[in-house]
Amino acid sequence: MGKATRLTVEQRANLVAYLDGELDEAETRSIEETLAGSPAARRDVEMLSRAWDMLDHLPRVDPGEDFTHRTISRLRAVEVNKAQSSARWQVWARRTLFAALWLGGLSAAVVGGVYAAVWTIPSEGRNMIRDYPVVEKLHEYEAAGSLEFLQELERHHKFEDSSLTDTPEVELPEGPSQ
Amino acid sequence: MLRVKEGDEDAFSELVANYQSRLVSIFYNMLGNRETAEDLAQECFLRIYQARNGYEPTAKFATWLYRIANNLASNTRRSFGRRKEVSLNARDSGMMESTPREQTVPDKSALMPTRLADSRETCDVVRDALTTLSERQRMAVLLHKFEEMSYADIGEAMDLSPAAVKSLLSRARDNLRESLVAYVRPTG
Repeated sequence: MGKATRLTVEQRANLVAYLDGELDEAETRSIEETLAGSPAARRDVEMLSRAWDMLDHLPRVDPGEDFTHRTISRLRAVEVNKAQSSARWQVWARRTLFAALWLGGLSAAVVGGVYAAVWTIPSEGRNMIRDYPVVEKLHEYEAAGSLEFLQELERHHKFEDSSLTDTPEVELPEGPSQ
Repeated sequence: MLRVKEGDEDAFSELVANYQSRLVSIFYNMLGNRETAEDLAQECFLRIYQARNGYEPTAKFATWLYRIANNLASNTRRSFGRRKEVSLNARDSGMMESTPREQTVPDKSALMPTRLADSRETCDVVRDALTTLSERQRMAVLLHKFEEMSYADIGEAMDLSPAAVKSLLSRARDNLRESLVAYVRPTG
């Protein structure tokens, strides 16, 4: 490979991976062949290596032993805070549950009371509904006059006589006096 | 972590002590502010403690830790972006003593590696180069450089496939090389 040969994007990526020891055997051999035949590639690798080595100058920060103590103290503070917050939540939950039960019981009592009142205290409307079948035929009952008169009609099989209304001359027992 | 899961607070202290420097360093180089970095590291440890009961040793602990760290850093950067109060450049935030940017970004035609004898200046130059990377590139670079994590582990921590990490790191290292070209150009 001549000096002017340009590396592909993949070859350039492989150059870095080669430096990092991340290539498999075949890829490593391929890169080494490329490097052997390309002074430009060798120069690239050298510059990449030098730039990487310069990162050794980056600061390493030692926060000191105090950092461990501060971290543990902060951790304890957070845990205590969490425990307190959890305890507060539990108290709040207990109170809410108690209030909910109390309200539920109260509501049940109110509903039960209303229900009992509706079904035990007589009401004019409910009586009218109950008596409606009688009220509906009140005129007929009034015309009949009395239960004894109706029983007399039945004894004479007059309810079975379909021509009753068409033959008014049929002799009927004497009705009750009004 | 399994001891922490069983409620061993001493084990948690050990865990914090073991990872605090690494975690604060990652956050510091991500966000450029030491106070914020320490706050986030603490927050990260708190989340780990609170999630201890759900921990299953199916993945490496470090991968789990940096997954949480990555989410925290992303949220914080978004928050910074909304408030526009904190510069991502550490020196702009006033937390690092340093020379102004125009003095640290090299004139590519003039600066030579020998000029970088002062380690603080070198540090500033590298930090400037790091700020040219996207958030994800920066996190991937830091996890790879500081934690020596594999592409697969970085992918797990950042919710990316190993192929995506490979591409991300390739672009990141190309960007770094371009930013640092004056210092990495072969002398021969």
